[in-house]
Amino acid sequence: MIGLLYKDFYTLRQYGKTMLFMLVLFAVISAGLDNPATFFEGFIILMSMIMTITSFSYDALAKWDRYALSMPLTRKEIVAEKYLLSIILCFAAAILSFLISTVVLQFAPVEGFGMTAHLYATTTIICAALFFIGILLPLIFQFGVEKSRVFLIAIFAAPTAAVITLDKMGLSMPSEAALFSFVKLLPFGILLFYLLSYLISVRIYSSKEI
Amino acid sequence: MNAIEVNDLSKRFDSFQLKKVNFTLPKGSIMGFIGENGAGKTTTIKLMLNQLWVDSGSIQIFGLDHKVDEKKIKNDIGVVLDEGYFYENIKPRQISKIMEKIYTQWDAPLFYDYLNRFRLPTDKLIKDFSRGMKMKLSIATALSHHPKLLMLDEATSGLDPVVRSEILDLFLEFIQDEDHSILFSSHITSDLEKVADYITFLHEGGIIFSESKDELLHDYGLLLCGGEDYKTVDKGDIIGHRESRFGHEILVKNKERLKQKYKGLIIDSISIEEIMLFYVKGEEFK
Repeated sequence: MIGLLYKDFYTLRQYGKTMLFMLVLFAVISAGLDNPATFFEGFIILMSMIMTITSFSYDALAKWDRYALSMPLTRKEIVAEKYLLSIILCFAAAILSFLISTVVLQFAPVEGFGMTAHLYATTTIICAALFFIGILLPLIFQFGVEKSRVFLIAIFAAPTAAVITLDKMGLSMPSEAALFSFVKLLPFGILLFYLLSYLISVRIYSSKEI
Repeated sequence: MNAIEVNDLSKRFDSFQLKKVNFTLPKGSIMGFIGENGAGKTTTIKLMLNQLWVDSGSIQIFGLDHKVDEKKIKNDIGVVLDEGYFYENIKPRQISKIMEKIYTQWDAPLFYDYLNRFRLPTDKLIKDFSRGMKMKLSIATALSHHPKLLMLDEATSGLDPVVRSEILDLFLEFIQDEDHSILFSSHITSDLEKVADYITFLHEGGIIFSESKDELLHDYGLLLCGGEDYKTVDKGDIIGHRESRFGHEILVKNKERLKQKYKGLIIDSISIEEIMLFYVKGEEFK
């Protein structure tokens, strides 16, 4: 499985350079916003999710699956590696963007957005990203990466639509205290969700003929 | 002991069916797997590698069940596919780093030896390689974890004769070790004629024959005759028949016996390619 991680990092390296460019670009763009930190971090973490999906595209281009399944690798390992990859990329992006925005916040503090709020916000973004990728990975294993790009749009559109609808229905936003306690529980929920998603993907991939 | 034993292997698809395929590859030999495109060669290889599920029948590799001992078996197999390899944005040096983590017996110095021998650069992206170079790289990769069995699916197709002969030499070298075996699917039958010990011929999902090459070439013959003589030939002796401007060409078996039987007629030797064509395109065969 470590070999597969190596393989993905080598193939994604080219893409990583684009990421660094985006990092600088979005740092500049977000500097003009009210709260640059959340926007910047949100975007960088989203990019890391897209990198995971890109690794599937590269695999499909090289017809990698058939080759991988001629090696001493189990299907479970192949699935597990992608989940691990997405977590590594997500956390790498989160830590990097958190550090950058912390430095920026030192120079241009946002009122009411201290370290605690910043940490909560970052945690929420990580959880949201893992939630999306947790939905997407089984779909990719089932339908292939090309078809799954359509789902990607749907996955992002659905929660946004839900929030807008709830807002239209006149539901007020929950209190800050309620939000904070929700965020505290969130990582555990996401962890469970991720595990479930992994098990589903293993099931899908194990029954697939290549 | 046998490297591969396939018994009554069947697999059904919507438009194609593999029918009770049987063959055995003894250790220390090279088997050529021939047949036209779509005959079932790749399907058989995929079934052996557990990439497709077997409907019925059994596959044993190194005497082990291909499913139960999958990981163990795959650690000892080197596979070269006509499609399916690394993404092209990778360098041979990185391949070695990756494989080191996948195969327990990966031998990096050996890999670099092969690269050297094939005059392949270690620090260039694969996308800058020619098709011949890519294939040599695949083969170098497949050989560098000390496999006991090499499986090649159309590996020499699309390569020029010089590269092909270089690769064939390597195969002959690999087979020097009595523990080593090669299964080599190709539709370039001349390559197989050069190196194979056994020939297995698949046609429309079924095995036509799986025999030693020498016996095949010794056994099969081409009987040439005119229209009058054709009528005297026993129908039971005709395996395949082709009529041309110059007369009748008949594919026969038991060449030596028939030479005695039809003393006036000419029975020539025949190449594997021609045998294959007779079966695929011949008007009649039993």
